[in-house]
Amino acid sequence: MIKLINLNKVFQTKTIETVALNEINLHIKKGEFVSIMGPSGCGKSTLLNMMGLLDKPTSGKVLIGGTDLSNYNDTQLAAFRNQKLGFIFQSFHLINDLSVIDNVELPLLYRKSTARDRRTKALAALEKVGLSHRTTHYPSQLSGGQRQRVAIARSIICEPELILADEPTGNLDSVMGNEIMNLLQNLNKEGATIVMVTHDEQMAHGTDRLIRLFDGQTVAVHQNSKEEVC
Amino acid sequence: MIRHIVQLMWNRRKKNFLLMTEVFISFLVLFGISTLIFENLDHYRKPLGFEYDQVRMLSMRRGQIEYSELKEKFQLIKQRLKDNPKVLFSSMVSSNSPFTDNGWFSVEEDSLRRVEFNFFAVEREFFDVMQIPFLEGETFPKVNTNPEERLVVVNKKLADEIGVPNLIGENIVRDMKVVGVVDKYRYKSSFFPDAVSLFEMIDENDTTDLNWFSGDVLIRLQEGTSKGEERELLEELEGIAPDWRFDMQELADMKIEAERKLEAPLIIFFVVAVFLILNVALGLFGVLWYNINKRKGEIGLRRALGAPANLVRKQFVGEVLVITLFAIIVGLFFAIQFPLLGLFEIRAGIYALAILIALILIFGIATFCALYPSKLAADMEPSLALHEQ
Ligand SMILES: Nc1ncnc2c1ncn2[C@@H]1O[C@H](COP(=O)(O)OP(=O)(O)O)[C@@H](O)[C@H]1O
Ligand SMILES: [Mg+2]
Repeated sequence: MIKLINLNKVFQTKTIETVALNEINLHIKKGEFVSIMGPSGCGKSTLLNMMGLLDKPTSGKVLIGGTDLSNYNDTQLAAFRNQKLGFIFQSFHLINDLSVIDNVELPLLYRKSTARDRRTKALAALEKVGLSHRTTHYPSQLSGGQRQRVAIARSIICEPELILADEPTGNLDSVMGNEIMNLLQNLNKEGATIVMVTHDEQMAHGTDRLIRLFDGQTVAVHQNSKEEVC
Repeated sequence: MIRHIVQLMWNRRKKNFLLMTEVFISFLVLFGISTLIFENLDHYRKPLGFEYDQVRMLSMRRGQIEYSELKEKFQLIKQRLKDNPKVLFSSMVSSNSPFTDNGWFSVEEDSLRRVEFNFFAVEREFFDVMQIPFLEGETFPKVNTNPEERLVVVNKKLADEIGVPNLIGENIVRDMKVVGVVDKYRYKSSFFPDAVSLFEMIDENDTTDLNWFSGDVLIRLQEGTSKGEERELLEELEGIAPDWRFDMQELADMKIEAERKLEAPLIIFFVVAVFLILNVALGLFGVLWYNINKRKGEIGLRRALGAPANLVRKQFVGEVLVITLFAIIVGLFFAIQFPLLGLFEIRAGIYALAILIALILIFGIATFCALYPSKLAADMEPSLALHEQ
């Protein structure tokens, strides 16, 4: 599903140069549920950005579904993200001025679709996350767990092949966190490939594979509690 | 997408209220200014109703004087004017000659009606001096044979207001009998519309009211009369009354002077308007800039969800246009009341043109102010969605 080849990312600011990713080589299979762990600032979000085509690597290649995306322009990348990728963020990133259902419909606005089609799909997605009774609410009227479920509904409305989640339970208590984790596991069972950054060991062990990152490098990969050092 | 933007802006209407108010007010101001400009241009290109090119205003300042002596001297002066081959026509007039900035508003009332008008005291040659054509009737007779009647000429606007079909020979109010109807007399300047006017025949024998003797005489000179000849005429008159002061002005000069007086308020008005528009532009610009910085996360999110950069730019420009549209819908409601209620005697066409220009200007300003902040928004990296705070 995803191939990262000799991936490097260096952030250049006026005063300092930060090496966020250092020679990453990674292969994530279709249908896999992978978690990424590591201390703050080690490059987890940067790695997810690379997989999500939100940022360009300094060197190296990102292949998704066998497609080399290095030469895609902005419009092509946007269309690719819209069709193949789903995003879930720690801080939900809902638009507060839009109702729950309008938030969920958002990705469909960036492709050809009719209003009726958007409504139907948004309702189905909300059904899946158990929020079909909250469609006309606004994000401020929901709990943190509910907000994240709206964000998940939004991420799956386009039926993406790959879901990228950056600390999706980071702002939630453990009960709500478990709910979200269950949802992700169900989506994975239905066929979605998922990459999730987390700080929670227990959640990480609920995934197929755990990748540990340190200072922009993969330091370890645990598979089904078997450990192998790279 | 358009629906989405309208929906978003509608939901954000409270946050954008100040901005919308600003746009609303500037729309009305622009509408007001445009109306004024077009109304004045419209006046300017329309005929005044008289010809002023060869006309001079002779003014005489005199000391204390007996009525009999005044009349005697004045008859001499008039005779001298009649005798001068360069003087085609002349008429004593009340002090509100064209372009003098003097007005004389009068109201007459009897049991039948109440009539309000701009009053002018003139002689029978006045309409020849000013080349004002008659629509009906004619100018005053040489002498008024019936001292019980005051003979008057009215303009069409006053005749229409009175609303009686054949006015000639009718007493319109009290002892005022109409002998003629003329078209227009826009005496103030090219920027003022025609107003209801009434010209009363000067009766030299009326000793009770010396108002007619303002000391002003309007004279039509033969075309080609030289400055020297004008001076000769003046000297001749000074010979008749050496202790009076005589002065002769060209109406054409007086017109320029009168219109120049309007310059200062116009400039102030213009500066205020420009300042206001600038203020709106800066306001729009500032709010947009601020909004876009506050909405970095949202921009990143939209990019992540599949919005290409140029669509983000279009969205932000679209938002500004929608805000402007909301404000203008309210503004239009107010602006349309002016032609609907017929306020200020301005033609609906002028209002329509002013609305159109105000719309173009306000949308132009809004778009212009939205371009740069929207470009900033479009240039933001999609990865902003993942790391902020
Ligand atoms: N846009 C950026 N500009 C400069 N440095 C950045 C930028 N994004 C991330 N970094 C740096 O790269 C490193 C990795 O960041 P990040 O991937 O966000 O870490 P994590 O998500 O693991 O906490 C950090 O040292 C961070 O300061
Ligand atoms: Mg992070």
